[in-house]
Amino acid sequence: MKTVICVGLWLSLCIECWAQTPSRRPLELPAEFAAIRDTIAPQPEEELWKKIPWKTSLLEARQVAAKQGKPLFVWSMDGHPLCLG
Amino acid sequence: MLQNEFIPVAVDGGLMGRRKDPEGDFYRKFANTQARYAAAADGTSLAQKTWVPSPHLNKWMKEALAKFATLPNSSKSPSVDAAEAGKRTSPVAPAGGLVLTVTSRFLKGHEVASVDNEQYAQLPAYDRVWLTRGEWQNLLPKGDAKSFELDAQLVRKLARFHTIDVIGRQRGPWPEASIKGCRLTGEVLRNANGTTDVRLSGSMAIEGTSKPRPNLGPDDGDVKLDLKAAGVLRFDRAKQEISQFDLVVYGPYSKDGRPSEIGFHFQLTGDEAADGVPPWAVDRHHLYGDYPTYYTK
Repeated sequence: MKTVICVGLWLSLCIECWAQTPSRRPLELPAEFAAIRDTIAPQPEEELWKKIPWKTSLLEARQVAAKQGKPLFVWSMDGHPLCLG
Repeated sequence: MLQNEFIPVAVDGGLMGRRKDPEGDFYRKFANTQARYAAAADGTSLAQKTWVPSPHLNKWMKEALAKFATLPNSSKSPSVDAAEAGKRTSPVAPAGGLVLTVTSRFLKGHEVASVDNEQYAQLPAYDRVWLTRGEWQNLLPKGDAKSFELDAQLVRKLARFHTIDVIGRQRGPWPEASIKGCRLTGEVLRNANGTTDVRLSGSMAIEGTSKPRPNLGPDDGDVKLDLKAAGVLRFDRAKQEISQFDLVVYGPYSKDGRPSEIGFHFQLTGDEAADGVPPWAVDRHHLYGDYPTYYTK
């Protein structure tokens, strides 16, 4: 039993070390730029539109609509709606 | 109701309405301007609204559903020819290329944004960057180089097409002459364990007026950007692919002397529906042909 626990702990340690080797950790931006990146990043309340499973292909949407017997809801803008924020 | 009773689809109506392919033909059966539309899969129009505040949207959708219920099955569930996909005329990302998402936001002084609605001016905006294989390979060091200059044409492409105020999408790419200077250098941090890690740094200076789209009014003023850039890149040598890319470009942005600050974040794109939308410049050039060439290699 003790052996099993020790082997398990050793394996966990190995996995942790492997995950933390430099080539596994994501590279980090300089602090100043990381802060800017975080400011640019959309907040959840700014991306409520992502809760809707928008398709971007009319053909694919038609195929699904025909299969499920549902109507299409088409959001059309001059400029793609999913890119305007 | 939208998710459960409809199949939601978002399109650039300005482009879709002009496409000469089956998708464009289908769109024109029920649509003719930017609006919300409800339509059956055979193109039968159910409802149209140019602007519907939320409470009214529910009522509007219910009315569309009621009309849909009266349609014959041949309209609700028509046969849709899958071969139409092969006739699509929309641009596609280069094979073997790299797609990045660039998110932009005014960090200060959003009042100078190229959009009338103040609420929109404070929101982030998105675009995609499409790089050919030849282009993205120019992000990498050659041989055993420990430091290197990134390909000047590639950096210029990023500056010209992707450091623009896309909020509201009211401007095109910067004219060639507006790029006063742009440079990115790379420093190899590590070359081990099958990956090459690179730190990027540089700057982009843009000055002048932006060429307005033909159907817009007069140019919205003299613009000046003085941006600095920093980023990181990881190349997986075994998979021969870039596994991490983060580039932040930000700095002062002035319009007619009014100061503000703008930021752009470039990163590997995800797999959401929006990530498949072509870059603004590619879409418009593909349709109008009057935008400068997007690819450098």
